[in-house]
Amino acid sequence: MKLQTACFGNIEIDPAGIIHFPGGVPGFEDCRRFVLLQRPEEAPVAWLQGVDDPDLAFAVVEPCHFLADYHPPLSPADLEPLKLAAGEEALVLTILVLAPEPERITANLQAPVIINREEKLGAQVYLGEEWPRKYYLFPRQGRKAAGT
Amino acid sequence: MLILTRHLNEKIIIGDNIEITVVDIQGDQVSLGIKAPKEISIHRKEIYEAIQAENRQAAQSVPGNLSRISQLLKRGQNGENGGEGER
Repeated sequence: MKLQTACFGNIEIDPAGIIHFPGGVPGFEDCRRFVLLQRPEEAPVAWLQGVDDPDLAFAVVEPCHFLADYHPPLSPADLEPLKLAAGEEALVLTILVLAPEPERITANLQAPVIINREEKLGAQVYLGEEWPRKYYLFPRQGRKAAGT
Repeated sequence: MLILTRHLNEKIIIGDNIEITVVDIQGDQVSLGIKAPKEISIHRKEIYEAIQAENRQAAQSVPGNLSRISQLLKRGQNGENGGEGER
């Protein structure tokens, strides 16, 4: 099916690849369908492209690419709408806020996107205030010492 | 806003499939039990608004050239970057 997107222009997407987000995501509750797109030169970063809202796209990345030990605890209330069994493998993605300066790029570790690849279901799950909403991926050297 | 007064253990029904129960009252703190279809997300309001704001900022920050970030991440996997978090 064809999609006129803001980021990729006119593209062809495979309807079989559409992932359903029953409640959309906070801020974009009406966009219930997304596809995951990736350009080889941009891997491991990918795009979560809105299908119902083609102007909507999020840059996303699996946190294992910048954090060794990120294992979001998912409760039964989180797992059930995604038809995931406890301990079952899900795709975990963090939404990035991009910026021209690398030291301003952040990943949202507080509310990751969890996708059940087999069932093509997804949701953004809130983990709790102890997780950072803005995790700086590439802090400048000595940033900590400056006390910012 | 509709304002209803309930006692402990009393309930409110919204539409025909959302039910709220006053589960506990301790001083000025109320515990509410909520039954709703699983596709409806339920959050404390200030949390939901914070995630909304973060998502809107993320959506507005694209399009961008991701290949630069891709390079930085690949370099980082060799132990050159150290991330840090803030709430």
